[in-house]
Amino acid sequence: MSGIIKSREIVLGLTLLCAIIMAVNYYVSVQVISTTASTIVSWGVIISAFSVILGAIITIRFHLGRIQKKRGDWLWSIWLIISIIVVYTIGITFTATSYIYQWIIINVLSGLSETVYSLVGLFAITAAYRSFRIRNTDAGILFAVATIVIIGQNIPIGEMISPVIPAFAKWILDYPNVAANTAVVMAELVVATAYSIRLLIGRERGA
Amino acid sequence: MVKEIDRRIIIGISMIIIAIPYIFPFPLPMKIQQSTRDAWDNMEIVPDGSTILFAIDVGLSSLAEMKGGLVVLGKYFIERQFKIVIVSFYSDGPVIFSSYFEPILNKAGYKLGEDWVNLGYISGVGVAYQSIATDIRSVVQTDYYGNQIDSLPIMKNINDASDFPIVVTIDAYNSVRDFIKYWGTPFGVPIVGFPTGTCYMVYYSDYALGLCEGLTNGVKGIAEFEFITNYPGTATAGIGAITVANLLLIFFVLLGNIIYFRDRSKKVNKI
Amino acid sequence: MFKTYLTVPLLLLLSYIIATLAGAELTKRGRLKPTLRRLPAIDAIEEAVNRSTEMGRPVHYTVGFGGGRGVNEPGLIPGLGILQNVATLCARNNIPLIHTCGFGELMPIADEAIREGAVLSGNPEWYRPEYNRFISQEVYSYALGVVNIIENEKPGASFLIGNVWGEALIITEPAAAQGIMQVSGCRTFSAMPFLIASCDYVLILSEMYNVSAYYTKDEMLVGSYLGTDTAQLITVILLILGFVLALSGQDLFKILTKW
Repeated sequence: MSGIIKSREIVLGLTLLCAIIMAVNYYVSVQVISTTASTIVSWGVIISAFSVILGAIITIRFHLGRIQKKRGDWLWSIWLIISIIVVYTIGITFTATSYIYQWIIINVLSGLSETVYSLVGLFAITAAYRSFRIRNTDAGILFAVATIVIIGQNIPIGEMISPVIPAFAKWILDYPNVAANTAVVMAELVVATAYSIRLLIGRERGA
Repeated sequence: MVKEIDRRIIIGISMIIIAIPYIFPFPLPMKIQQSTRDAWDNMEIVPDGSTILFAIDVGLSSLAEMKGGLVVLGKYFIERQFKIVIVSFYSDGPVIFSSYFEPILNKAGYKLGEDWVNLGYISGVGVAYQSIATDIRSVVQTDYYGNQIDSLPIMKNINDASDFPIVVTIDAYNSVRDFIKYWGTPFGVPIVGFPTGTCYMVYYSDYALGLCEGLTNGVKGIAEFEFITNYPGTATAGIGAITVANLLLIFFVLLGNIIYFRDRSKKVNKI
Repeated sequence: MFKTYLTVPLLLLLSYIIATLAGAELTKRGRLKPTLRRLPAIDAIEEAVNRSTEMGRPVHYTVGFGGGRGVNEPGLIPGLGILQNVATLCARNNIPLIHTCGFGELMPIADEAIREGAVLSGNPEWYRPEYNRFISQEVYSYALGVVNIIENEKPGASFLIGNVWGEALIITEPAAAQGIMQVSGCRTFSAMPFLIASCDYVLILSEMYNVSAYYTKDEMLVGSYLGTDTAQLITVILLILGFVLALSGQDLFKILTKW
């Protein structure tokens, strides 16, 4: 029985059916189809919700194993398990709309996330320092244009130097940037459509 | 002579220099970009007292950048006496609303159900946008606090996308594109976006092609919007740091190239 | 019933599908003989795994976090396909694979991809459940978890292919600082410059979709790319037509959507 359920043809068939319903829903407004599409999406949402529990169980199991074997940073694993239990208990007891839960999210989680996000800017500087080398004419033009766009659009310095800089930066964004962006997005969407077709008919798989 | 610089030194120097404008703020000229001005103009033509859709699609990590936008938009909506239908297509949205936006509404005396409603987090991404656009009640029957939306006066004549004169989205996760796809193109609803700086460059082509009516450029765009609306805030305070960070980027790229070419010419001379 | 303003987009979509299938069919029948040009970034996948084998180090792979959209991001599927390829190569060379995951619902799918990769390599005993690791469902916790694994396990190669947004630099910069060979790929413009700056090889946009065709040289897959090029040609023709009409003051988009 499990062999029949896991059989590739049935899985592909179900996937193809769901894909057709979702695609048709975009082009037609028929009550039955839009209800079915919403139901399929809600199934996905329910699976996502259960997956959060699955993820939590996997994490706890992994870190309990580390604590038991005193392997790696097992002391941080203890801290992780305590944090999971505390926040989970607060969420269940006081609900997600409570002041204390939101205080934890805004003052602890948000602060930590913002701190890590701030690393992106610093890492961008080190990555640029390490890798941007003006080895040929193309790279030189790229650097010059990027500098003009940064100075003209991202920061107010451009206006202080000359009004030509922000005007030129805007021209670059309005014409070459839009043309290249649109072309690449359209090409990528065409390839993605072809990939989806191959996936749905079962021909796309790894090597 | 300068040798190849350790990245830890670069990070350390960058942190110190970027912090200086916060400690010693300096004034900078504020020229409003056309995309920000278009965002402002398109919101100005919406009549006072209209019911608008406001999508909060930022994450907790983007708050440092976009917090100013939430505050200035809140103040602007109150000044215009807009009735606000708030929705989030990203899971952090409701918490961010409760912490940053709701206090502004409460301070102005806005009443839940009459002047604003929070529909909460709607999952499902693309199909969620489409479903809300065609029939809100097919997806949402209660608001974030459990009230039946049919019992709320603000939702009385709101059924689908065509009932909104404008959609404003503060965005870090492709929300502008999804609104264009499912609200702008089919229903002709004007979309005004307040994305992060990296997302601005991605959506700029949509704005230039006329698919999106207005767009702001991250912190700088929010600072410009604060300037236009005369509500200076954290974004205006951050402009100095943004300027310094961008200039540092250019400086270090140039420095890296100078060191590279100097080393290369040394090797050529040795040969 | 039918949204008439979507007639032309629907016809375009159908033309893309027909072109793709026609290209595949004609190649299968031998009427056309297309070839794929050499893509260094795809060659680098095998090179990276071989490098890890020589160093005796594991290989790290992640599909990224995808801006919090989880399994709804389109870039995830080619990322999982390439994961299967990498699993096949790792199983063949008998080196461990560490797959780090930011979504619970991705775990069983990735598990299946790794397992199938092992079966395809002819070494199904290579597979271990601990190759698949869940980190966190919050983007920067996930990014830091990946960095922690990279710094502790010291892989010989790191792959970041799939959905990448803000976590790109957080993951790739520390790995680059350690001299780990990195191959990445994403379909979002916002992350692309960061990946190009910090990784050794980058699969840019549609190159991610080419990997299985490149490796297997399957006629149907290669032929479908010919069809894709034809579909892109149709788009270019429409662009030129729109440009010509715009010169005479007419809006092709308005004409087509009012049809």
